[in-house]
Amino acid sequence: MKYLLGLINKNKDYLIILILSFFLSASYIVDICSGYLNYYNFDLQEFLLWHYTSLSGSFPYKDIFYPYGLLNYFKYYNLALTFIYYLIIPLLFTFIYFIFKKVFKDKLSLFFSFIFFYVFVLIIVGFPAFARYGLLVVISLIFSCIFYSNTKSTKIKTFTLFVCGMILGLFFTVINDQGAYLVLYFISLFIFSKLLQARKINFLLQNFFIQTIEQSIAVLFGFFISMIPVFLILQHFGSFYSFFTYFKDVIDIVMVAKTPFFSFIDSPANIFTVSILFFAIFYNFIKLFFFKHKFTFSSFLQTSLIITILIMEQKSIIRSIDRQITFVSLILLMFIAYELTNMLINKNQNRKIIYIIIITVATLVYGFNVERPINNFSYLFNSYELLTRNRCFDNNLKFFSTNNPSYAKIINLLRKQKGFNNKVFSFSTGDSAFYVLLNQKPPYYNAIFEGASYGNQNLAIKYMRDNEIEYVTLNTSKLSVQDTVPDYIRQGFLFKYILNNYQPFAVIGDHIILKKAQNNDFFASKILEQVEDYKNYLLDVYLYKIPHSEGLYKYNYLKNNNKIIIEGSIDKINSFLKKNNLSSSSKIIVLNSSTVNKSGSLIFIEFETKNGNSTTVYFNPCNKNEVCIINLSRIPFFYKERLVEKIIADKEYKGEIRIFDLKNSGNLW
Amino acid sequence: MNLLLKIAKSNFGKIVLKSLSISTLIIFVLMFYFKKIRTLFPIPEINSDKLIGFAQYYGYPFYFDTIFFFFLIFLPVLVFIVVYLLSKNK
Repeated sequence: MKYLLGLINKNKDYLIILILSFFLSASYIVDICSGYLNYYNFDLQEFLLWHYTSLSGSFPYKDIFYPYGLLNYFKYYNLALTFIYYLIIPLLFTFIYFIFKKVFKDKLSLFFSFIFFYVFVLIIVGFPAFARYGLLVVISLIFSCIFYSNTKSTKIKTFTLFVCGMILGLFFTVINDQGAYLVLYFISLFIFSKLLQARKINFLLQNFFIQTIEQSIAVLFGFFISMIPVFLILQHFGSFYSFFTYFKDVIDIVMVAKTPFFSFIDSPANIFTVSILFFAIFYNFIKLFFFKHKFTFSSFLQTSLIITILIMEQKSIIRSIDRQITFVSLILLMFIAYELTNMLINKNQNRKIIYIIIITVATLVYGFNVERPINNFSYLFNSYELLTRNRCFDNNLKFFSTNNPSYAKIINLLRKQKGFNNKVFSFSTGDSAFYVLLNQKPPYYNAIFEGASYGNQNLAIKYMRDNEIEYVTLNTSKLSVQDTVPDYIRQGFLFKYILNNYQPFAVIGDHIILKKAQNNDFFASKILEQVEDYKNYLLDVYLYKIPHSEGLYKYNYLKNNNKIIIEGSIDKINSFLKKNNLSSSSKIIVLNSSTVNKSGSLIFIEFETKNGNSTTVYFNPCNKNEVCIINLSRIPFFYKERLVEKIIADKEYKGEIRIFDLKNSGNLW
Repeated sequence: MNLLLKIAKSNFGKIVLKSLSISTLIIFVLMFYFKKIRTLFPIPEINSDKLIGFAQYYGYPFYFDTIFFFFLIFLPVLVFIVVYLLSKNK
């Protein structure tokens, strides 16, 4: 007892921080219960579906909770696990305080920095983002503390590395994305600390290499040991195989989720992070390699934070998380500013004041320019009550249904249909509320990004067949998810299957309801007159760079196939088409430009069919002596076989048109 | 503050200032010719899994941002090394 009291007394500041941040972070409860209601439409539906699948147990682990992992999956499971999830924030703040205490030697700077950091997270970053990315940052800083203490001696304790490996393995399985970053960070830090050690000892010493191999084995051993319980859980859920295949899906998601980074570089958050990173790298390089400055604890932490930001920026380069990671730059700024003021200012009192001024001004300049996250305290008590009564999901579903009444109307209509088996398929995939409202097990790859690959689109088609889906909903208000790439382009194979096997049956709100039919012509349906804009959207097809890319990489594959016609004159092509009933099926159009085209502007090619209907394809022209390839079977109007009678090419286009018949389109898109 | 002035006036301070000025200038030039530089990178191929995202749809070079980002971030260090070595040779 005496020992315990002594321990508490010795660490009372940590205890105070833990308790204070526990209560001060209470607004986070709103997020755990119904924070996702702040999201719009599709994102909100996805969260609702996750919540539903977690409670119903219809999908274990990875399947639906990609990429947030077990920790997020179980937070909805029961109150005890929600409480454990809630503890993340207070624990993160306590560990941040622990690190700050080691860096800031005077109390004024320590308390100012910590309070400032807390307010920054509360107002600018938001607790949900801090809970997610803070874990990576805090654990990486703790690893730095361990490694720094070990750089002083040449011998790193094997047991310490074994424990580090266990932590890595645990995080890798519990929070997949952060765990993967942490592994990457650990490898970087391990190499970095080895290089630091190598400066002190003879690099070629045999012992040094043997020691490094031993240490690596210790980390790997710890890593796999900690994964054993998770493997058992996965085995229990039957998700063992999908856990490993999921890493292939991650690569696929990266391929389809990439948006341009430099278009967002001028956001206040990016300027804040990149300028600090820019300065930190230059400053540390000069300090350590030019001045041969002693490698202090602060320097080690700064290097660690630079590595962390560089890793996080890689995610931002794929898809922007600029504001979420600003708290890491703030910590780095604090450490550098504190070190510089101590180095350059003589008087102790002036140092503290100048440090406080630097941090305040730098953050306020940035802080005034950002949109604040919603931290709505008025929902707090309501959310707490819902949470304790386990009513969050019901409340959120009610909120969604009230704000989107057409979903319930569609379900009512479908339930009146004879033989309706209580199952639908929604396109765009991600229009998931139908599954929740119908208590239906959703497709395995429900989100459009993870369902984008050819294989996963086929799995969605298999789902429709296996579940004997009679009705499909087409959301005409959501034509592309986030990055303006049309959903019918991203999931073209799935969309083709829907249009060829289902016929418009009714329009409710923004949805077209399709019913299973054979030998139908989607574009001939009278129902589409009610959604003329959507019909035109499918007839005016924008392919942008796809024809260019296909021509650049795949023409060699095509050119040995059956050529139907090669002509420089469009009139001759049209007279050929008039004489020969040319079916659109398996036809590839190749455009070989003879002129230099203006970059940026689109050109078009229009296809008219025997019954007078037409579709127009817009795309970026290819350069002189390059070919553009258009696969007719990828154009919605030609999902169904039609007879092409006339081609109208843009006046801007000068060159040859070649038509190929390719029975097996193979690797062509 | 005197120490800051002393550093700025010293030979080392001049090298630092020179490096930062040259780096800033290069960054502005690169940003100005950003679109031209981007076209030097090949547009992404639609792979056998037929994935279409922003990069494949608009022909945005997939690894361009990563390479350009790392180049910009480490540019001052590279420029500093060059300026330092040149000043030493004088």
